Amino acid sequence: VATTLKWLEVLGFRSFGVAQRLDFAEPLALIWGANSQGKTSVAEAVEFLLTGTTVRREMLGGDKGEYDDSLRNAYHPDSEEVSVTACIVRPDGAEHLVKRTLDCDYSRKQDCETTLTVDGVEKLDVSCLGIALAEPPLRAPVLFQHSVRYALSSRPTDRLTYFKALLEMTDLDLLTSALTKVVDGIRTPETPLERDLATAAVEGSTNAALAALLTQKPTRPEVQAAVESAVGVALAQVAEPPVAMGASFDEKVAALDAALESQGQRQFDFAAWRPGSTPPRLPTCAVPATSIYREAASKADAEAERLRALFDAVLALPAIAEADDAVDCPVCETPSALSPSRIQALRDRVRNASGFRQAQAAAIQELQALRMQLAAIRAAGETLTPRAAAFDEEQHRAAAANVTSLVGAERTMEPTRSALAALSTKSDALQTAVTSALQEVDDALRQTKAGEDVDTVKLADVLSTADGAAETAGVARERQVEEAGRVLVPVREALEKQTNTSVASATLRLAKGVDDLLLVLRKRFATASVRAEYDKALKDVERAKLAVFNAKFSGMSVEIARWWNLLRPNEPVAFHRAAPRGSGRRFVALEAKLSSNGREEVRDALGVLSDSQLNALGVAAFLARAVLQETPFVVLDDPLQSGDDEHRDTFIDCVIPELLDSGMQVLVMSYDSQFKRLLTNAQPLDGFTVTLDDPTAGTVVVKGTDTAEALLKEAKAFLKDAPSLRETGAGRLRTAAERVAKEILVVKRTAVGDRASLSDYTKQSLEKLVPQLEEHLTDEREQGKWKNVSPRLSPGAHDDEPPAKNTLRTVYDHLLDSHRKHVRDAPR
Amino acid sequence: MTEDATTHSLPNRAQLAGELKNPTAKRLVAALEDATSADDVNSTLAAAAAHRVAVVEKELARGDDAEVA
Repeated sequence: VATTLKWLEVLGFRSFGVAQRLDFAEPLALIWGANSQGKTSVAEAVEFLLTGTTVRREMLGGDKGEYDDSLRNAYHPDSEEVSVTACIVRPDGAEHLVKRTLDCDYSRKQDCETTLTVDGVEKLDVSCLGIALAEPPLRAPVLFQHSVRYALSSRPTDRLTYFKALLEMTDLDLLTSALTKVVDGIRTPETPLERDLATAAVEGSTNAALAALLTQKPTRPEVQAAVESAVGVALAQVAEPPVAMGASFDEKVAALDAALESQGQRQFDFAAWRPGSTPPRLPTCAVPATSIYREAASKADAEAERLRALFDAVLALPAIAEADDAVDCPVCETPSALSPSRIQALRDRVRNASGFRQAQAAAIQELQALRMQLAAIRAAGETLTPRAAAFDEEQHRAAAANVTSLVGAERTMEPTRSALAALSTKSDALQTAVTSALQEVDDALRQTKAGEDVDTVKLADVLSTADGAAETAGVARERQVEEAGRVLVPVREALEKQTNTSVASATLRLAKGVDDLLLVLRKRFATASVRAEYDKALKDVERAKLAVFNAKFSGMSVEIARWWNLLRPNEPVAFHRAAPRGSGRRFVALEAKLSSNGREEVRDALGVLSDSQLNALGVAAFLARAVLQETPFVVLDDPLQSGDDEHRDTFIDCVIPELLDSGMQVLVMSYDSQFKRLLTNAQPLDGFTVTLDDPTAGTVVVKGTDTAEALLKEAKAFLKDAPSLRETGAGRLRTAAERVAKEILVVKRTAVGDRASLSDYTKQSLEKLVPQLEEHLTDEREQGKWKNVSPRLSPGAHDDEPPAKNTLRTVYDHLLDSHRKHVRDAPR
Repeated sequence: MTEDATTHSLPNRAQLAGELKNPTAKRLVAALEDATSADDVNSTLAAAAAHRVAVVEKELARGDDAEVA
């Protein structure tokens, strides 16, 4: 027993207005109605319930704005909700109430918004009900005419996407796409040390060992050796006098640094623009131990503090420690001076005094640590401002002229000077704040040591101010470094070129950071090797994906062929197979096989299949997916093309039973009266007729497909000018008239207490029914109209001209009025 | 409150794994066993790559240390 749809209720959705409910007792339901009555709205209601959207907007193309406000019935009051509700029964028999409410309709800018609840609890999707939706675009097991043709008429790449979705393969596309992204992302941003390495290795022809580091597996000895060798080369170029033989590596680096600094400094005073280190921050601006100290101090009194040692000794005496009654005081010998309550009070005072001592010690320790931190901030602040802050205007003009001569006039020192001035101001503010904080900490230390009260609020306040000043000064320093770098880095590079020291400078930086260089080279090597490893993995995943794709396609192809053969048995042109074309990455081939006199030819299906056959192929592909996906129910909206009468029988006799045998619930919509009759005869089913007489009220669903209303609606479609249509219309009206007469007779007899049913009139013709009807009709004019129904519908012999359109219309109007008066609107 | 869907984001993962030959590819696809969303897939693969780079770096460092010892 699979999951089933027990009933469906539609309110205000698409063509529906007032709530209409369809109850399904049989695994097969037929929803019949003429065109534009609301059949497709039923199918879309199921789709909306399951997915919260309608694929029509995605598939029919065009401007999405054309679907604005398309889900809510135009006549449905704004104050009323739009919803689709269903009862879904799980295989264990548990019933679940599933409801999808439209919160916001489609608009040009956005998709619709809905709320899904299952048994009143909000859910994201219907997976909790065991209903697995397919991949987009056709997510719901609902077949529409527009989706049947989508796969066949769309562009080849879209067709591949469609079949991949049918095969549930897009997950592997997601995986390969994610892996490709990861492989592309396996790289590290180039570091300054790598740039230096490239400069020193490429430009220095004697630095082959450095160049080799860029490609080989890095080891510490090789890196160290290569850098040492490069330092030797650089020293030979720039150092005067030459470095002494036997100098250590560190000594050589220091010599190279000094030589380059001297060369650079001669040209430009870089050091004047270099700020001190960033001031440290206070770990915390609060002083918890001081607060605890204040609390302890408030509990301890001075007298108890003074006599604490004496009290300790007295309380330790066994006579007092174990006293149950009042005892004499061992100090002043007052009789019964120490009662148990007094002893307890004494213990409390001593304990408070001891707590005070501990708190005092902790507060002093904390304040001393704080003092050291503030001193460190003050020290950093003292060297924070670069020397250039004290330049006079002439020195600034000289520096600016130097910059212009080295790197051109477009680089101005003004922003650097501005940042420098800001840093100077912040540095001064920092010193003021830290001095004030130090003063406050010193006061607090003194007060704590003396056992006096400490203003912890004020202390926290000045500490916060000092820390804020340190932060601000740090930010100003960063800005100054950044602004100075904009000018000084190009200046340094220009100078290095001028003095031919680019390689030596780069070598120096490498030499100063051999450990960092080793880390950079390890990262570089590791990244390159993992990227190569992942590249190979990606290629294997792509290959394996194609293998899975082919295997699944093969299974799908067999299933499509099975349904094709049920839909179109024994045709000279048949569906052959669906298969990926070429690499399978871009196209899918749909092949047809042509058979004649034992000769078979394979051709592209789209080129040789007729329109009707293409429709069948679309239906076969949909049904194949439904079976492979083990969909519990399918909705087929007009699955047979108009005029495709010859395949109606195979659909009814082969396709429907096959679906039902597979355990699937089938809801099929059709406009075709013959299909309705044949299917009703072939299978037990729940029949419904949908009509849309009053657009304001919306589509009305009537249980049954052979009710008087349904038959009248069916006949109405033939009240046309063409003789053949009129002839059919006359026949349909006769059938409808018989049904109307029978329903009136049952209602009239039931009203007077008879046990009447339609089966009482089985096989009775209109000629037999009308006389019986006359007994119940009081209006003579109406009796006359009933008498004229048969002569009007059959004016003469069968080869005579069929009744005129107006005649048919007159009969139709009479039958409709009579039915409404005696059946539909009759008091019960 | 909404309840998240718990469907696996890679229904064909097991079948794909059966077709793989490259050990790294096998390892990566195996790591996606519990992925339930595209974000899971992306983050798992990215984390695996970053981890692998770190492992190779450590191996290089260990090689250096062994040589020194």
